[in-house]
Amino acid sequence: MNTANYDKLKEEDFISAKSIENIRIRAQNPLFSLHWELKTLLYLGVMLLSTGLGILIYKNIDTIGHQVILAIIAAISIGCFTYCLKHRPPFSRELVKSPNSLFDYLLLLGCLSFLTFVGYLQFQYTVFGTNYGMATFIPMLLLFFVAYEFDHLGILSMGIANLAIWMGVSVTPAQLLSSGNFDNQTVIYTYLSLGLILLLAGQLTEYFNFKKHFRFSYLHFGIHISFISLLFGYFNHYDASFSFIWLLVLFALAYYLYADAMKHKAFYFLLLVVLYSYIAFSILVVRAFITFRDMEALYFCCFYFIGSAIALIRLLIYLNKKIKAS
Amino acid sequence: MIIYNRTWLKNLDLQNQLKRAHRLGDITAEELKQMEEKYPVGFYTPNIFVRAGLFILTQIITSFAGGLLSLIFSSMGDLITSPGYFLFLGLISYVALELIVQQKHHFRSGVDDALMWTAAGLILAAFIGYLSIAQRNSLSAPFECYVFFFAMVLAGYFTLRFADMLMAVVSFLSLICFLFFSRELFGFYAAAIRPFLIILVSAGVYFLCVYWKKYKDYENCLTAMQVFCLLIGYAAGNYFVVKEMGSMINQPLQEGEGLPLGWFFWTWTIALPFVYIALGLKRKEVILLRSGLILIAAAAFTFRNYYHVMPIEGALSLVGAALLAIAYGVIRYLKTPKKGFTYEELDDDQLLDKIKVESLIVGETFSGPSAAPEGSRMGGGSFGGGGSSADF
Repeated sequence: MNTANYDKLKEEDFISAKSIENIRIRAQNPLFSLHWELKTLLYLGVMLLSTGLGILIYKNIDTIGHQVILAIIAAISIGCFTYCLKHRPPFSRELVKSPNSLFDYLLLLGCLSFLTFVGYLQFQYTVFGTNYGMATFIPMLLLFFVAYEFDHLGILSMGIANLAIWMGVSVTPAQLLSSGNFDNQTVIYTYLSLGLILLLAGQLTEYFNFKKHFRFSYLHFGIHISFISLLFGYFNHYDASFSFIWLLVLFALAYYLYADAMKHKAFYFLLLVVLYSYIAFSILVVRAFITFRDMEALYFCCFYFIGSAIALIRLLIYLNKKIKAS
Repeated sequence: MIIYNRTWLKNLDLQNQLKRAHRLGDITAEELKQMEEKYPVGFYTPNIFVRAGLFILTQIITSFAGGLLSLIFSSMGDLITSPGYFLFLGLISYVALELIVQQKHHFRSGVDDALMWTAAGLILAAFIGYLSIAQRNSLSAPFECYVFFFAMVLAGYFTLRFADMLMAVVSFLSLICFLFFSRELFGFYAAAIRPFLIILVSAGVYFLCVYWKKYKDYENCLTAMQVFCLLIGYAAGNYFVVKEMGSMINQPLQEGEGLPLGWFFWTWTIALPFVYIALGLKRKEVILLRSGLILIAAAAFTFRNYYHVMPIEGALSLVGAALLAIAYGVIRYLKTPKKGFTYEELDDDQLLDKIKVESLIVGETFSGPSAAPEGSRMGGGSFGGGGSSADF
């Protein structure tokens, strides 16, 4: 607190002497937190180490023995997990605060090296034969187990990504949009079911009151995946007469999620729902416009987008107020 | 000059500090509430999600409104391709911006951000348009010189008027680009003195920012500019940058030929990040400390680019292990706060916590390599090709 503001505080009579004293003491002994710096160092350390080891193994696969490599990776993984098991707080269905960031990142390193371990086993010895489902299923199970057991959100996100690999797609939002191979019908259905499963999982965490704070991760991935796959489903069947069913499903889902977000006062999800529904609605409107003659359609589009965006701005401001007030 | 209500800005600063004091448990909720009532802030500043949403929607409105106007005017010859038309659109955006800020008291709401960047972009585009016409009558200095000088003045104006961080940074970077391109001004030795000139200017701006600390309304802008002064000042003396930039503009250096004054640039490259960190720790300044940490990576990359001590994977593993060890050591050392430093999170940033940024970053970066489709894993040679067509 700077001096000008501090003087202002002292003049007020409704500020107790104790509070003034608290602030004065804090100003005299300022503590400088290195929390985020150290956390970034840990993150970089884990990232560099796991990447470096990955390349090292890949390049030297012929010169050092396979058993040696496997042993090294296993040792790192076991070492990390041992540390975490030793320092872990007891399990609880609620949020468990991790003892420190080091714990978080060693757990992450342990999981990453376990993934490398399994991948290496499969690559070299084809332990799972040609049963690729199994080869991705086991890491996924481990990731989810670790995420719940040690209460680690980052590993939960990795688990969700692995669930997607197991189902045959890869799923972090960036890849979802950039890979863009949506032509295939089965891909769309897989994505859609994945999204819905995640949404369901998110709701179940709350229903059973089991790790309720994981709900955010499930819903974050679930909402993006479901809406994007519904939109692509619509475009994939653009000329079919039943293509509108995709958008109908989208609006139904949007309404459900809207009510849910209002209930939880989650503005992030509300924003996603509003924007995705706006895209879907605009697609319908533009489709209706382009049945007109060329120039008129352009004018109508401009008017529609200007008007609707203004309306949406008002809506967002209104919803924000409503959530704050409730 | 500043468009915002200055009392409200002061109150906002007070409220933010009181909120922090409340989070730390120094003052009670009752006291905070009374202070907030006594020192009100009338701005409309929604949370980051609303801001992002409003930004996107305002962009939609401005682009379609511009499109509609262009449609209407498109019959009038080459009106809509003339620079004057861009200026016209830019001024409309600017007027809308002034109105929304003055009448509706928007303050970093997304609407004002969108309008500001649209207006600045269009006005700059108009200037470039005029300049291309004028260039046919031959200009005395390079084209970029005029552009960056104008960009600096324009962004500077927006910074002063709206106290926007990014605009301040753009203004500073434009100044550096202007110096970079204005080789005619310095005659024959332009390439030789350019690094020192940019270092001096960065240092000058940095100390000006420190000196200007008393202008509280622009605190964010000054902080952002300081960060970029430190980074640019380092880059200007970085061996790699100097060498590449020098040989890009003048005749290229021969293969294996060193830079004149090489020792100076190498010292600058390696030592400066540590100087930043040391000063940051000594003065307990986040800006210096974090810039230094970032620049250590830059120094390492520069060094590796010229001296291949070990293969990249070995270096990655070693550095990774070293970073883990350092972090571990420091965390152990700071278990109880020492010398005014602590490892504890003092003021947990609630917003970062709300969207769980850390977990998303971990999910994004670590699921990448292992997320390669099964097909490519069996391809033998190429990892992570992402080939959906690979069959087995």
